[in-house]
Amino acid sequence: MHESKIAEYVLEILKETADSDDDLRGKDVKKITFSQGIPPFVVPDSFEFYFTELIRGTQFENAAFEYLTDEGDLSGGFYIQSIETMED
Amino acid sequence: MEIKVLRNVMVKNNAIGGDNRWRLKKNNVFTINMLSSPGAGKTTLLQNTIGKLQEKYRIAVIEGDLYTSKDAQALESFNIPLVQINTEGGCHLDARMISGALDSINLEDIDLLFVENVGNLVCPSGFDLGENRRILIYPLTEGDDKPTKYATMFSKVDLVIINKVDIAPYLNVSVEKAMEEVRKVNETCEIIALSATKPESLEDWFQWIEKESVSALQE
Repeated sequence: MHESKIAEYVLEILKETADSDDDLRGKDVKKITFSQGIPPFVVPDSFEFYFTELIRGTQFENAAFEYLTDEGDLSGGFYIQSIETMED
Repeated sequence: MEIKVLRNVMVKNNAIGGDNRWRLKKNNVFTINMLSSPGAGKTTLLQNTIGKLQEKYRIAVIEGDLYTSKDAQALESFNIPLVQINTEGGCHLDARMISGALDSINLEDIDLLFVENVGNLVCPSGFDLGENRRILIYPLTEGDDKPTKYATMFSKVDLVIINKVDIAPYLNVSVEKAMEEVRKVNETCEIIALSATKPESLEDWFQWIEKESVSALQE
């Protein structure tokens, strides 16, 4: 259930990134890639349950999500790795 | 086009946790984040700890609870600064909640702050509150398989208190086995076995507080 708070943090960071990056500002996002250490702290299904509600009506609304595992991170950290925009 | 972000999602919480830690250090307040599943004995341990240490330390408590103030009410008789945080269903305390609670405590008048987190063996583990030390109360009644089942939580604490050892004879677990299981996921934490309801069993816990309060404030 902590995924609800994680979803809020993710959206805050995405908005900050979008506001500060000319290549991202106002563009629809195709994919967001996350990475997670071991043991994992975030359950993707639970995260998406909250996150898809938060991003409704934003440029992230139609994004697909990818989750990578970082086996070198033993702290279980959850990172936003990258954002991919729709083709122009 | 792909845009690299490379940001830890917890940076939002951790930044506020860092601010909390700075505020507490500036006022020489030693802060303990108390973690456990529901019913592990956090509040009972606090009652018998405050009762013993109140003459030595100026103590305050931040109580985390989903909806009620039952735990705070259990501590009211000590007449210490008490702040209740209701998470309204949220499964953990976060640094922003603690920051707000600190605003209502006169930190200059405090030496020792206990934060009783929401009872949960998963969610609170990822949220730095600005504490100096994290402790986990692990009652024998939960069985000896919990450390490996909840490895994230057990691996991120400085002290594991194995509680309710007085009823070990009635359980199919032993203190020694529980300690072995803790060691499988955390090689460095300290482990203290006690019964929170038995004040005479708390001496090692009190000595740990004294030792760590000195070392933490020098870090």
